Amino acid sequence: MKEASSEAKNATAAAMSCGLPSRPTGALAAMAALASAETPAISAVSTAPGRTALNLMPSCPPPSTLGRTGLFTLLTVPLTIAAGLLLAVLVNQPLRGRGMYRTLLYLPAVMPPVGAGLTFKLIFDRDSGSANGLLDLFGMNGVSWLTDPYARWVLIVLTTWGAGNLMIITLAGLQDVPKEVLEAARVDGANRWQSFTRITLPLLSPVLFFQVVTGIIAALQSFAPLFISLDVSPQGMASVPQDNYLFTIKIITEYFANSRYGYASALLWVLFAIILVLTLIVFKVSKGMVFYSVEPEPARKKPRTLGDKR
Amino acid sequence: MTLPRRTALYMIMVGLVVLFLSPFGWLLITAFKDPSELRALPIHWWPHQPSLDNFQQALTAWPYLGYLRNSLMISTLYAVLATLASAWAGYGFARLAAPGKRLIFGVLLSTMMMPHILTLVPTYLLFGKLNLLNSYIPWVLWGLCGTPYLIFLFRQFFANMPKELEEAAVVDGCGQIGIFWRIFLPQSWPVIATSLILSFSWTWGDWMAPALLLDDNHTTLAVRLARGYVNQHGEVLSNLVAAGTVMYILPVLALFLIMQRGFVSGVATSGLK
Repeated sequence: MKEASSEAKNATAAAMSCGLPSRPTGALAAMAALASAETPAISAVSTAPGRTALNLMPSCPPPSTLGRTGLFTLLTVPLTIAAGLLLAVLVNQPLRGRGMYRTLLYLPAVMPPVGAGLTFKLIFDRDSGSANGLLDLFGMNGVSWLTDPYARWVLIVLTTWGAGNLMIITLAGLQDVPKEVLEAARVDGANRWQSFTRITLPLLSPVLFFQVVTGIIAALQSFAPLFISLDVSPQGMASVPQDNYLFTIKIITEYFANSRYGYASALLWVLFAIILVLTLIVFKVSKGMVFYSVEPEPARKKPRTLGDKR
Repeated sequence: MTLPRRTALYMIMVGLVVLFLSPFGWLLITAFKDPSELRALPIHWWPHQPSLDNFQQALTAWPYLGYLRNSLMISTLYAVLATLASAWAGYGFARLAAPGKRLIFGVLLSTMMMPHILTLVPTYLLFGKLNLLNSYIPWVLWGLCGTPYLIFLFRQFFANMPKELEEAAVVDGCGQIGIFWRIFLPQSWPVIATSLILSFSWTWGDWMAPALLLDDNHTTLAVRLARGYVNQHGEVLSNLVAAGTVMYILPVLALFLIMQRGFVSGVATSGLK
């Protein structure tokens, strides 16, 4: 914020004075006021030539950052859900010490994001990282993993590393699949694959659906690119490689480095609208694909028993 | 299960565990390396002269313990307050009758769907107007408000407690507050433990809120550590970063490992059922 030019500060001050009424308002109301208050200023800004110099990333207009965020979501959501499902099926097998496997596979999900980011920066370091060490073992040249075009894959690997979270949820779903139904299928001559795809997966579909919805919401607002960028500080947003320059990073840059609070608020509303619309679409599309053995929210007579057994 | 199948399964499991734990391994190895080894080619897969020097330097290169104290303070404050407030709210949603309760609960749950960063800018501006920047009051306020996920967790737990407990307490002359404090809360220690761990880890790992609201003297370990360690020439000192990270993640991982049994089952079943 200190680096922001006086011009940006003036714009911010103007936005603050007209956007924030003196009486206390709720956070959302304040933001709505902010966003709408500065909208005319934004359109004026985009036509004024000298002003673009204020942007740290003039080559990153919102649409392209949105596209990148979309790609990131499209790649990581199915990947983490599939990984979680695979892990859950594996740790659900009758193995000795499976409790230990579960704990160890879940461990990365407990890792604080900053810690995970720093660890991955060490692994993918150009000189001392183990990733390049492995490449070297196979006689290949090392690469700068944390810059374009490789940074995107580091980000995806980092996200998939935390799949233990989804494993635990899927596992709970797997354990709810009635043994009798699987037994009946076996008696009727179904092999493992058939009973998995015809019985387990449909019964698991509400759980997977839940993961799709929450996964999309989480991916769209992920900050993870920040923690594997070279300079993790409010002023260092520009060091995020272009491939990882997601919509959220754009928002934080506008907010932290450019001090354009009104513009950042407007972008946040855009993100919110996108999340809302996407969630509605997912709900619409999934109709008929998700199988509920009981009605998810049956009407109950006594409010006291609302959360009781299904 | 046949023997070859069983063997294959064990091999897959061990392979996966090694794969998932390898980042932790590399972190530890780097933390014990001498700075000169970082430049070695081919790279050293194992520290040749493991020493604890990195840890000592990581603690003293900048005031690590000071930031650690800030982190501990904020996280503990928030965890305790959020757990109490969420238990209180969850009790209300589970056991008390009120008009419009379902609607309010629905609104509460829908706020979970709302992106966290949406409230980022207004939060900063509001706390700025209230002169609460560079203080830990925001965390107290956030804690006192509880958090939807934990309220949901407590509500699910309390809703499944037998009604007879409550009735017996009422017969014995207990009020609602007494029922909550003396009957329900002491029974719910698995949820309390889960809630404490979760809220502590959230705050411990949170980068955004302290980066926004606190300056360099008040900020948390997460924010300071994320900036890493550099020498006078601005080069990253990877071995110190590794040592600092090990010490930073240790409390959270230890907390989880100690209480993982109740924790995993609690989180797994409360999210969906």
